[in-house]
Amino acid sequence: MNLTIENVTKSFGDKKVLNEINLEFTTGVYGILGANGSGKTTLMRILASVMKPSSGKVFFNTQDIEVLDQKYRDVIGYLPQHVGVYKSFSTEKFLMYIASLKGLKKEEAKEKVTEVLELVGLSEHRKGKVGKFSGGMKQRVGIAQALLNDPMVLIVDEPTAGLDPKERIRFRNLLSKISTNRIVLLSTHIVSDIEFIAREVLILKEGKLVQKETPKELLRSIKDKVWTVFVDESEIQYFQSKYKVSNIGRDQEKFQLRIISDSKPHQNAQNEIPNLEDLYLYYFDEEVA
Amino acid sequence: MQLLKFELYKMYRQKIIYFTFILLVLFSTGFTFNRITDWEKDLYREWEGPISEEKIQLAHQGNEELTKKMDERVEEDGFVYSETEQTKMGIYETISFIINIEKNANEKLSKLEKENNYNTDLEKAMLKDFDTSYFAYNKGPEKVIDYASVYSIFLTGAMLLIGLSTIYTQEYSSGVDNYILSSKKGRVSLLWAKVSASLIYTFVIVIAWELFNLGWNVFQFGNEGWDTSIQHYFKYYFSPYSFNMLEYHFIQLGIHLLAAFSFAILIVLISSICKNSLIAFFINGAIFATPYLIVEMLMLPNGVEDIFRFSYIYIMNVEFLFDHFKTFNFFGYPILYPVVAIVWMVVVSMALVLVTSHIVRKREVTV
Repeated sequence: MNLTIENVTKSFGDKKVLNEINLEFTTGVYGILGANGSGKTTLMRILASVMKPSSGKVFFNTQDIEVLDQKYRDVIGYLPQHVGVYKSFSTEKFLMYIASLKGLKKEEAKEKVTEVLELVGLSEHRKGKVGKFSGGMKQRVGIAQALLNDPMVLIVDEPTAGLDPKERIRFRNLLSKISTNRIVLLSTHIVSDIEFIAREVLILKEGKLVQKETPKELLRSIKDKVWTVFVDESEIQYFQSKYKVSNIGRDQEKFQLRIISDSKPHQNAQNEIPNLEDLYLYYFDEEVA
Repeated sequence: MQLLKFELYKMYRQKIIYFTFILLVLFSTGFTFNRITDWEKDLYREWEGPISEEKIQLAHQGNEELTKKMDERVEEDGFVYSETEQTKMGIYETISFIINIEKNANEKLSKLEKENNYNTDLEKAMLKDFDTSYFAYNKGPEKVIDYASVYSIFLTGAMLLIGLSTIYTQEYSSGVDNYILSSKKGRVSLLWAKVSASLIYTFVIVIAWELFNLGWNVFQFGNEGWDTSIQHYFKYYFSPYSFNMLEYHFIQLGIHLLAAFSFAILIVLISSICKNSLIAFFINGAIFATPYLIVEMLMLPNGVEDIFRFSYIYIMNVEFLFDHFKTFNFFGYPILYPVVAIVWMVVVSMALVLVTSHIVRKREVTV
């Protein structure tokens, strides 16, 4: 099973949101990392067939998804960034509706709804109105609907945005549980979402694919670029203005700064083992979430 | 089938449709109530049947006597008609009206003998086939037909606009469109489900107001007179169609329903394009009402006016299709307006379905 993206470009007017993307996915979890506006959602939408590329093609098992049309949509599950629901529907009714959209027969749909509700931990809320659910619960309804057709390709766009830490952990665990024998594409700007479950991490920046490697390889690529330095409080501002500081911690009288830099930022700086947050900061000049 | 059930469920969950329907039906009564009495019906019954020479003479005599009596009475105490006399006068006038229908038709036939237009033969054939002589009390059917022409437009139009304008826009506003467009049956199959649900909804609306129409008007004015010809109702005085009230009412409902179906499909199309329910509502409303405003407010030449009359609001009204002899010249072959309207509505509906199908196939999520 493979999903291939060939020279995909997407433009809105003069603005290129995706620029000549080439990728291949096989079974496993892929984390798509990028800052806001990097093109993650557009890429997800193209893969979910709710948006068409301006140029280029996407192939599923060597066949153009546009030609496959509903055959392709039959094998995908999509959780968009903003989970839409009918507020007055019960969870069960809403999922039954989505099941019918996915072409499941009534009896099969009933079984599947029970199964996915169990999986996402919403069995007790099957009669509850979706509109009254918390963000995390809605997100679980969202993932439940995406799983109804037992998809070969699962596309989840920023699934943990807006969730509290407990819900994020629950979601990561859930994703790791369901990722066997599927292609799971998970876009996020939250590094911890993918740190331990992604087989490969893709880094998108301004519509371009910057990196596609295993987390281990990616971390190796910045192995000599993460430093720790102990400074006085008065020096913090200097380092913040000159370097990317990923963390500031207090250690008795001194402050410990974690700095991302191609060169050694201070003569007393010590080289550190990088993590994915360092990697994110290395590529995206913004605060780590 | 499952999708259709869900679409119907979503449609009938809208409380506003029930509220609007009740309100419109209440207003359609004009908040007036008159009930025909048995003695009035009995008076008509005395004259019921084909109008013979003898009946014409009797009606003429009766009319003269009554007029004379009235003149005398006016001089004496200023009092004019009793209720019985009013009814009798109405009967004499109706008989005179019916005699004139046939007289007009015969005059028209003689005139046509001298003409040789593309549609002359058809009109002659229709007028020869003409028999309006059967007299009976028929106020009930008249009222029913009138309601199905006039109030039906507001009822069907408003109910379709309110019930269907959100059929696609609600998917966009709720964000469910992402699931829909990425699912196997979310495009063409869902469109069919939505169109089918819209047609069922339309059918139910038409049946609902028709039941009220029959109940309300038959209760007030009686159920007699369905076999009198439509020309007895003044709006169809010049109509060349040989239908009785019952036949015409069925045809009227059929054409109204066909136009309503087509309008429902148009609403689905507009809803599939618009992101905002209110915009969809106003666009559909404008498409529905504008031809009426143009025809009523502007003095248009007949040919141009007829183009606007082949719009939803007028075809749903049906009246203009049958009130006179009107044909469309199709390469020298005359096609009656009702046939043109039916063909037009079928063609438009099919085209709308095709366009909508194309749109939903190509639809992309934008926000």
